[in-house]
Amino acid sequence: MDAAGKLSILAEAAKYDVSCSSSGNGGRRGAVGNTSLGGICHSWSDDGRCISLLKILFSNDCAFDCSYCVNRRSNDVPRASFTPRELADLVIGFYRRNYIEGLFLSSAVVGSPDDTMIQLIRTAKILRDEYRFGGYIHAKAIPGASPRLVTALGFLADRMSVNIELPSEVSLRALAPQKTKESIFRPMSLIGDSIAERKEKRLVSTRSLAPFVPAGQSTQLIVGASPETDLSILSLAGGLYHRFGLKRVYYSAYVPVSANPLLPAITTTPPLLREHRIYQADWLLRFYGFRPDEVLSPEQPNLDESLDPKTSWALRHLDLFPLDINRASYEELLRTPGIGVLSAKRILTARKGRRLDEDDLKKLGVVMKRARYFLACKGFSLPSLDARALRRLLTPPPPPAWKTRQLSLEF
Amino acid sequence: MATWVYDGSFNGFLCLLFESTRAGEPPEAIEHAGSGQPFLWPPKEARTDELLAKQTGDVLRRRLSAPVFTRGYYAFLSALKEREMSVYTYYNLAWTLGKSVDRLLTDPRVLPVHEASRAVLRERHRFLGLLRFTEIGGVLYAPFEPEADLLQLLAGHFSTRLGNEKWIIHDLGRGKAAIYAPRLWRIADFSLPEGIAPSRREEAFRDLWKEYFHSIAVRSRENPRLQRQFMPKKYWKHLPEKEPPAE
Repeated sequence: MDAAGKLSILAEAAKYDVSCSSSGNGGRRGAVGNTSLGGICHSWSDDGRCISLLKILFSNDCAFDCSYCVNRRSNDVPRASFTPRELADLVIGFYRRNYIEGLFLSSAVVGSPDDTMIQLIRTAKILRDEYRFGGYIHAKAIPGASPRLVTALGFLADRMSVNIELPSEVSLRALAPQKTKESIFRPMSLIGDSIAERKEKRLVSTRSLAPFVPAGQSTQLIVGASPETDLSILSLAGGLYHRFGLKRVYYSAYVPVSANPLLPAITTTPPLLREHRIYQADWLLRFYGFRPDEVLSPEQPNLDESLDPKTSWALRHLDLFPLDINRASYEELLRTPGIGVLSAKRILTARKGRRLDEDDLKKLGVVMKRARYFLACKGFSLPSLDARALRRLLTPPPPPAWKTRQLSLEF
Repeated sequence: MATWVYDGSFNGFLCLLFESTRAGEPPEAIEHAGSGQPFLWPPKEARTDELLAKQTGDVLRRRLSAPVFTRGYYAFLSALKEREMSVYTYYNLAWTLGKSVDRLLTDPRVLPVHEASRAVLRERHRFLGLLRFTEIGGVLYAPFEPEADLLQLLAGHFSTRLGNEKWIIHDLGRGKAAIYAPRLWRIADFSLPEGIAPSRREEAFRDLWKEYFHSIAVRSRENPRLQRQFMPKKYWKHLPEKEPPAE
């Protein structure tokens, strides 16, 4: 098979992995390439997602049979594998032309998890040692691989990830019989511990030590393949950020790839709006100082799809508003609908110069369409409305049909 | 009050600031020399002197603060109309206020400069990803048509990234290029000699990239609006992945 054929099969096989970021490590530099702290996107594919890394499987010839996965053994798809040399050469060729920021290296389980890891390590070694490649490498730890190999790959990569995919043990047992909760969380905590340990060592060492997974680790959860609520997904994510120190949790609306009575019907469209709302809630956890139990509760375990989670929260806490824009703290500003991290910071700077009015807020990038109902400033305050009336005003018109269709779970 | 002309470079602009202050004739308009603009009175001309520019720059950086000075520089590179006068007004205000000029974020003398500087940095960041190199005779060549004058803001990045290569980043609209051979880059007027075409090997790489671009999209999530939001059509011209398919 020629390079184009392999490339197309193995990119096709990797695309349901969402992560493509190249951020988190600004320090690497090699003969070819360097990394940039904020990451760089190089293109955007037809689905609107950013292309930063060459996201590709080393092989899609899988020994496992997970029902939700397009590469499962029982699926009838063309199979292909790279050699480490082929893949490394392709990366350098793309990188020199500025097509990509680096490599996202993953693989199906070929033979055993350890055999697969060895191939991934070989590929990364050619890049780092032979080409002295200084660009970004995101590597997958194969579930069930031995700790020694996971560690070896960690010294070559910028970021590592182990995908959880199914947000509960019950679903995992039903849909991915060869994987266990253990086989996922063991490498995750191994990587987490090694990162922390290495960081400490590098801090006190007088020699310069090679970094271990300097851009941290991430994971992915599938939304809508199994019956978990948004609350259980977000609580899991909250725990991962907190306990394992994860940099990112990605959420992926399930795209049906197989007809299985345990999974949504193959004709269902991916729950994109739900995915979007979960991402918004995730941002509230990471950048806006919210706790999972503020966004959702056992009484209301799913996000409101017609409103963004911050607006929803604000409508439940109308007693805190309207906020005086010239006196409110940064934390309070962040909790106001229509104000983001950037505009909150700009407000803090600009109000040192003079008292702000409605016109100023627009110039500072505040989305007044939403914020106006929650703010008061020099010569401007709206009559207070009740939550019901506000909800009507703030609910956007119904989006196009392709965004609203939801999964039906067939049991 | 007078109309001043200069050579269009940032160094020239700094010299203009110095000369106009010394002459006690603050500019009411600033034009490029040789822009063909008819003048009512003969304009004042500021000659560019590298040493004077450096000294003026040092003084400004100290008096205005480094962030203010740099922001003015970015705005100077932008496509803002009357960018020279905007930067002049901003610097002038900052001469009295120092770095607290930025607290007047919504002031019409400050806001346009902030916005222009942000636009320049945004476009620079976009092109860090969207520049595409083609190998021609051992040299990596990247043509592009940015709105702002980005060459000096991109050259540093690519000289660390592709440090062992020779490369040319060509601003087609302005007819100049950043030209790099290991360890050194400079900016010069440039046009590509005629009759140069990429090799077959190069075509093969482009095809691989197009293949990848096509394969990585999830068809059931197609969203061309979102794609254009991040990657506006004006940038498609030099992207192999957006080339119309061959006959």
